[in-house]
Amino acid sequence: MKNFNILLLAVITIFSFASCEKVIELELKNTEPRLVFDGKLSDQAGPIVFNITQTIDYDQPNNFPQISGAVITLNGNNNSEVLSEQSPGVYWATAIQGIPGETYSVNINYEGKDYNSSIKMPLPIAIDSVTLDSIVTFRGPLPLLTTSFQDPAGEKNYYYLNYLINGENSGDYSLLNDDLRDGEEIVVGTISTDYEDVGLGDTITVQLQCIDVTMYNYYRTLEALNDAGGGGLGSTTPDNPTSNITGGGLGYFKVYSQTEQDFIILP
Amino acid sequence: MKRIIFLLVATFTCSVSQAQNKYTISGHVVDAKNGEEIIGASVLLKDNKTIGTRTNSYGFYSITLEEGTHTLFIRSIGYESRDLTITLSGNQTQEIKLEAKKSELKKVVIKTKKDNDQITSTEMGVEELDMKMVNKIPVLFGERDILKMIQLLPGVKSAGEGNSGFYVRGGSADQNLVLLDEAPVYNASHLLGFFSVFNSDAIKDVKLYKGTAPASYGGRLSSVLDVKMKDGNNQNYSVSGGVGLIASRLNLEGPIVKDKGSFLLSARRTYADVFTAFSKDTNVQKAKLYFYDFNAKANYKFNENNRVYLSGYFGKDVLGFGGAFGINWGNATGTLRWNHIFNQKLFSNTSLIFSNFDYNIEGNFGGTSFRIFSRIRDYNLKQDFQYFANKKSEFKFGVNSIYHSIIPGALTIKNDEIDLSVDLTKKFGWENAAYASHKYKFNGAFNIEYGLRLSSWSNLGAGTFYSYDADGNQSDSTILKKGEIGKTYVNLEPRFVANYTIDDENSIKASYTRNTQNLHLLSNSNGGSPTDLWIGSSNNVKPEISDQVALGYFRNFDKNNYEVSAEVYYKHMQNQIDYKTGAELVFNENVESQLLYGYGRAYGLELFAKKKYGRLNGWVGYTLSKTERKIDGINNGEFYNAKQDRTHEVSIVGIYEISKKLSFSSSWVYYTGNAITFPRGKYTIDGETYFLYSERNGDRMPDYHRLDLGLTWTRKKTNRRESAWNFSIYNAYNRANAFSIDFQDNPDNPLQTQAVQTTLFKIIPSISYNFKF
Repeated sequence: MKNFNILLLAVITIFSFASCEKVIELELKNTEPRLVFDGKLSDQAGPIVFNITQTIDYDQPNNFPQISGAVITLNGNNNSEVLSEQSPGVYWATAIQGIPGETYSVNINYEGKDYNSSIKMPLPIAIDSVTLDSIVTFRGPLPLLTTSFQDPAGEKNYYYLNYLINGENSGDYSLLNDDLRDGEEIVVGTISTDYEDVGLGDTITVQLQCIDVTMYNYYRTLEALNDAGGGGLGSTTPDNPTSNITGGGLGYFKVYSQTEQDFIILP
Repeated sequence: MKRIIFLLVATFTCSVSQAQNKYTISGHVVDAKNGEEIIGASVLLKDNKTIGTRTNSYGFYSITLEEGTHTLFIRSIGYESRDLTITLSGNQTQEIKLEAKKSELKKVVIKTKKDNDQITSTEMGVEELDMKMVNKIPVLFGERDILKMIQLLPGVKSAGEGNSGFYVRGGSADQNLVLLDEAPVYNASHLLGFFSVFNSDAIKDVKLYKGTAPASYGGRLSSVLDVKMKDGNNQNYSVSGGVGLIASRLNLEGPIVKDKGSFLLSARRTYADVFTAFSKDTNVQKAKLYFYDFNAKANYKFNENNRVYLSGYFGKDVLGFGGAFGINWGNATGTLRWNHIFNQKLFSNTSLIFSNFDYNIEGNFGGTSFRIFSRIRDYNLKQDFQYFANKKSEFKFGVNSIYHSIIPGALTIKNDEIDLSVDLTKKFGWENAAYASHKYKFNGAFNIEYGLRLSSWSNLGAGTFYSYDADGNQSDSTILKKGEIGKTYVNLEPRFVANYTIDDENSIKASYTRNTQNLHLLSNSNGGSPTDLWIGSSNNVKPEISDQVALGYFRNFDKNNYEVSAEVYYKHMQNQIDYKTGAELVFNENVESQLLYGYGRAYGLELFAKKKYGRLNGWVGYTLSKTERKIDGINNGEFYNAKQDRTHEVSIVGIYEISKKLSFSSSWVYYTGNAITFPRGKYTIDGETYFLYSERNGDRMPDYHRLDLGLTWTRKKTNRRESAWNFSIYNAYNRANAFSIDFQDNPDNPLQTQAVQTTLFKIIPSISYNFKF
């Protein structure tokens, strides 16, 4: 798909002398509001946080309503806890701890409707190394950040690598599975201009998150649909990413284990 | 089934036994100037024009008449009609030469009745292109193109702005069988669809079957586009060519042995990358982008009864970025044909056909090189017979066997340390068909043509074939050894067209057709990409089946100068394919797990009015149609609009001969915007804003319309030397049509979302020069 986009870019450029862009008014139909869940449960310290918001119409300004008054029940580690609402739409669980290998199920009840999900937390995997190099591409030299770790054999594993620069999200991530590399040492490279301004004393942190297949599918479809819509040549039919919560809501219940490693640029 | 075959054989034998005291005249109809055989020329009895035949794709005719003297009347589009008086006292062969039509202006206007084939033939939903007209219709960048021309016909829709892809009667792009000298062309476009692979210099004849195709064709649901290459001038050497804004062409033809054999070589090369030099982006400046085509054909007549043709096509698109990244793709086809005339009534053609499409992506990043390769290749053997039983009855029958091999993807990665190759499982398929059809003219007003095609598809080893459950997990597998036959599908495809000729100027036709398709193109991008994947039917993917019924009324006016028709059709399509949300179609071993299945329906009304003769000719077409899909897992299992669903579609084409040297042409098209899915809302998650979608294809792109103008100035020097300038203006009134609409944050108020429309082609003038000597 990415190759195709480069191709398309070149072709469009050829014709660009004849093309133009303009902002147009479209009469778009509206739709029933839907709930949006952002639930995260990990083996890291801190409370388990659930955020519930609602969709708005396309032509509204981006002020998304926080949903209060939902009853969220979390089960796991032979324990059950009703989350407390810390601020409108933000719910915390503090009694239940995330333990790798355990299964967690959640029930959300809002205005008489139930939304459910049940996910097993994958076991964490340690990062072996993180390196930063430069690589020559057709766009000139670009920074290449590589992370390596050992994939356990005989099981399906799904990974989400989150990259931070001095503790801040860089916006860059890697998503992968072990379909073609089961049991091997996996080397993940990311080429991004994000690391161009990184200098002496800066720290790049790689968080290796082991996620389950449903969360992998959520991220994968989200990524695949990133270029969707528009109706142009390279576009695909847009849709919503596949949620791992039943009941008709959007969003996810992300249950993951995490390890991390820093890469400090030494003088 | 057995009964139908028995009936066919019975009719066959009884018509043979009737042929007494009658003799057959047969032969070829050819162009007097260059010896090219003329396809579809009518050979009729002058006294009774309902009796007669048409030349087949090799220009061969055969007609059986009573002993004695007869006057034949021979006519074909673009040629002067002529009479031929013969005295039959035995079977005889006769080559008939036709002179190409001179300018309409020179002709003394004689009010004779002209061609009324539209009324009397059993063809329905069939469109033939006059190649001389193709050369005059204005097109994008002045690069004439048969695929853009057929988009101006009712029932045929363009895949998008400037695109050579097309949809026929609600079918998708891969449901068109595109044949070049009988070889399937798997990707008929260049430069992502902006140009077709058909260099019109090398093309002799184009026929599009959007309704009932003869039983000799099969394998695709929607249509058959049958493109025939020129055979080459067997009288004189001739060179022709052209220089255009975006491409140059050169064509060379001549006799191998005069009257016995000829050859044709035709080449085209674009220089699209000239434009990249003007780009501000230095990466784009370095880009290399061009395509080329090469057509070659040779034929030789060993004797009256044996003739051999060899033809080939090779084309390639090349795109590269300064050696670091490149992609190229292209088709190659080859056809070896042997025409054999067993006797005056039995014509045979044997074809050995090769077809190949592949793409190759290569890159080099910091010393690590990679290559991805994918290919589909066919070997195809076809045997066709045509039996001209008597003046009322004609049979066609034959067999076809195709071996398909598909390399879905082969990846190699190399650097100092790694030498890795990952190959997706190669797929093999075997497609077989046998068919028979019969055209019969009853006494009175009825004509019928009916046929039956028996087709089969088999998975072939070596390979492992997986079955997938509803969640896309492997549930079962079949391992086949090399050459071993696996899952096989057999289908019967009946076809039927009936013509009731009310009088010389009025007829009604009805048809029913079943088609099946065992090769499916997986593409989730709107415009189609060279990296789209062909897959065969399998444990998971069932053959696509369509049933189409159509009814038409045909009317000619003013001594057949005007043709008017109205057709309605309804098409039901089974086992249609769509994709799961975010489907991974590229380099995926389990690509079949990404598919969803369902059915489709399409129905519509097509109105067509054409003026065929005189200084002004052209046509007006209108289509009213609906195309829907119903797929489990999409749109809650409810019917939704297919993306090519366009309610109204209008095309107007006109050519006016101002003087002998100057002709003016124009075309205007209008259509309802494509069905598309626009956001219905938005939401936030983890700090990012996303769009909310609900109904599939529930919105519309803005309506599309465009006027093109063209002027052709012919400068004829001698009988053999000719040159012409062609000026054209694409999108003459500078309409900003929507190519795509993207949604993004309003830069002045990031909390608001705005829609931005991209227009690809505003007004584009172009010029080209063509010559011949």
